[in-house]
Amino acid sequence: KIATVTPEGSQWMEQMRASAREIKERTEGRVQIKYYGGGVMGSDQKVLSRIRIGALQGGAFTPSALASQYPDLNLYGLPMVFDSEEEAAYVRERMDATLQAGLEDAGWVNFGFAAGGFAILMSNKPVRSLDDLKGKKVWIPEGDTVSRYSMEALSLSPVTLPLTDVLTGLQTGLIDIVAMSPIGALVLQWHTKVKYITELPLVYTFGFMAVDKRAFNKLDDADKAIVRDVMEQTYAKLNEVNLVDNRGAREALINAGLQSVAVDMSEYDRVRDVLMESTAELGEEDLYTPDLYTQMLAHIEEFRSRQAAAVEQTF
Amino acid sequence: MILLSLLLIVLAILGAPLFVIIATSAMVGFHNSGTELMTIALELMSIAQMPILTAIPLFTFAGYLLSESNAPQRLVRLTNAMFGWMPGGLALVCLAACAFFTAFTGASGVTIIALGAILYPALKQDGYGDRFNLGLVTSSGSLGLLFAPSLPLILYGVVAEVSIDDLFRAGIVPGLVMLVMLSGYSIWVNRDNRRPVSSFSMREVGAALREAIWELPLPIVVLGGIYSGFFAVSEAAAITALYVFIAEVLINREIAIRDLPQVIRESMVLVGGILMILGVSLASTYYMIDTEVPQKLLAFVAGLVSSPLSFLVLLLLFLLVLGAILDIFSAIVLVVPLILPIAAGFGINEVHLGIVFLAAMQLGYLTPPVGLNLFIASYRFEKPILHVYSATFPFLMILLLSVILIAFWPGLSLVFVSGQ
Amino acid sequence: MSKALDSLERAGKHAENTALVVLLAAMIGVSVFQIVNRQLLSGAFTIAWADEFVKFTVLWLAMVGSIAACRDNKHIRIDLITHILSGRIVSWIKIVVDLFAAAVCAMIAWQAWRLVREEMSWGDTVLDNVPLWIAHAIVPLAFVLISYQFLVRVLKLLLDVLRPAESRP
Ligand code: NA
Ligand code: NA
Repeated sequence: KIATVTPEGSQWMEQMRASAREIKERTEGRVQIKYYGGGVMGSDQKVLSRIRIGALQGGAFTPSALASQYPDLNLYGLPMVFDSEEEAAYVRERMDATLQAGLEDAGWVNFGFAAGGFAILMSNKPVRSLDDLKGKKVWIPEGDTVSRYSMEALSLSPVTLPLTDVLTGLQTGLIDIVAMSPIGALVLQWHTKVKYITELPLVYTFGFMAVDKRAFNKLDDADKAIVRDVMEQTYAKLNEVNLVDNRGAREALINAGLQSVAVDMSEYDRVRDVLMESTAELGEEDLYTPDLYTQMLAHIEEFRSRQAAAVEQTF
Repeated sequence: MILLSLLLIVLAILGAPLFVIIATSAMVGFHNSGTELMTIALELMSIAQMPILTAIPLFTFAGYLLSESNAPQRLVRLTNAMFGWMPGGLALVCLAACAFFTAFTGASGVTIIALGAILYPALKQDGYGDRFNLGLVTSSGSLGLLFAPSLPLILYGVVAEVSIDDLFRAGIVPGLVMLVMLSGYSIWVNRDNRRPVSSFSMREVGAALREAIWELPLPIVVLGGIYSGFFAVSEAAAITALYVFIAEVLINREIAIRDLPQVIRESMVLVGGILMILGVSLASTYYMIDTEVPQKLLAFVAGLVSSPLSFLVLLLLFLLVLGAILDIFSAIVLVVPLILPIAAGFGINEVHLGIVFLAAMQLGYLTPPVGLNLFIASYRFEKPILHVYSATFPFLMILLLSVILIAFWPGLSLVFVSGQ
Repeated sequence: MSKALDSLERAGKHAENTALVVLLAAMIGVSVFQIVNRQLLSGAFTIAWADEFVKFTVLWLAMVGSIAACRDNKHIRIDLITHILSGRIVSWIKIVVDLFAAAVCAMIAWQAWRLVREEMSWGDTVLDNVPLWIAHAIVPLAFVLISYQFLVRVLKLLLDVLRPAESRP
């Protein structure tokens, strides 16, 4: 029994059910997966508790939901660490295995991460610089520690609201600015209440499935291998599909009449420096392992120097 | 299993507290389906994870303060001065105010405890019959669900991938239809409760307005605050509680500070009673989700459908049953994705479907055995639950009629929707 | 015996009232402060745990309110029997029904206690480092007290029913 917030009838859900059928066939019915979509199992905290008392065996999560179990899940989602999807993909190729192993140590079997696209800024007045954010009411999700620290670092005042209040909040001006991936914004229809998007890659988002290790270990080895095989393929496919979907979603936002605002590069660097400085300290708050953080930065550095070299060669 | 259900029904009729009955049936269900029994506690504890519930204690407290003060008398004087010449004047004010309030609070029953608290005694003072008052206030509690920015409309839009703005527009006429039909009934029942038109006096209106000077700004403060972005819908309850406290306790001084603990106790007894029922209902909802009751029910009903007409008839029947056993938010998330493709197959517009869905689910708040608003009214007005059932029945029938009208006349929903 | 019960009753009622007043005042205070802080003080004193605090207060209010509802006999029942029947049989029915309620509430208290003990081992925290189990501990406690109140009611009914007929008022 696996819980997810993905709506029933969505393409993602179809994929998951298809994989469940394949697993059932290949294990001759010994492993049957039942999905509870649409968030009917309740909040992340509730799903987590259900798994720990054994009423559910797993869930599809976003990193912040399991960060209390395994803080290193925060790493990819630190604000403005990645410049591009390519850069994120390069780092993930080298670090996903480490994070997966960490999750396993924390008691969770998982089958890979599926990218969700970068969260970008959406607003009713164009945001070109940090000054455009000052004095504005920026929404952050409840309980999102990393976002809260980032806001403090930029001396901005965040507004926390339940997800259900955001649409009305944007309409009435209770909040001015939200950060969300294009896919998420389309689903929640926040795009109908804003006029501008600022497409700097603010926060890298991803989702994954985590299964209770105690439940998984009850399967025999052959079945475990089949489940891993099928689910890993599914998540690799979802990772690809999502990248394409997110590009489509970005197009849809522009087609819906939203204006894309460009940020001045020097301003971009300034904001990033402030954010990087503040996130560098979060290791001490136990929000990630400092070693892994250094490792991630080294991979990013590596990618950027390779890119620079490639650019030089073409000239 | 059947024997056990019968035993529970007998115990309920013999007078066992209803929360105990619901909790027992959930735990028996867990036991039979092999679900960990700690789930009952987990569901109760998740009361602390629903931001929507924070409004309940705050509005309840505000409602009790208002009803303990002389605000109901002032309201009666004001409506009499302004609408006394009209039969059922106060009843109409009551219906309109409740619909408006519910649009913001999303019909979690807070309308009854916040507005009902002041309207119920006011109606009584104005000479309306007790059964009528009880039925009116109870059924008004979910009226307005179809008006923007009600949360169920937003949730349907997200789940069904339908434009929320379209839904907001589509809800206007059907919502008004419900309002007008209930108003018509209220006027007809109270056709003798009126004063001669000649008694209307501007001086009396002015005096009544002056007397109510501290209550009148309340709706303006709350609605103005929401619309100007000063605070969120979810925060409006806190402002209301504080405002009413200042107005009635500190300024009007109609409730002494030393009586406050007792008022708070009474209001929180109500909160405890309602949230306890809600908590154990969450557990029985979990049991139904876990054992896929809604899906099985739908599969059964879908098997009977043969034409668009029979689809709508069966859909209504299905939704009425669903509304009686499941809360509106779980129902939207669980069932809407499943009926959308079926409805599309019969050429039913998805915006229209949304309005029909919510309008039918609205009745679920009033259908025995587990209509939440029936319980809330029973707690709030200290009336036996069976009495509330029967008082609400005529209103339920009228709402049912309006839902049928809305379902079979798509034009009502689609008149303001662009591109239809 | 009944004197002891009465003074327990008064103390219990007083404790409930105090808890309810404090919880409600805290809830209103924190919520309003959040709005004032955001709109008038431009977010200078943001309380990170405010939203969570308000939500847990709802749970505590619900639980304490429910204990109070039980003491005041305000939980909803289908009140049919007292209209149809009268005399001793009604008392016996009430005894059976309340005994059943006491048993069910004791069962819920037991399940809630099991869950709280599990939560101790998880080590989750809420509200800026308060252990989650402390925030949830009100649930088993409340159900123990609710169960106890049903038992007290049974005891009183029994004393009344078993009293010799001539000493009845
Ligand atoms: Na509700
Ligand atoms: Na219902």
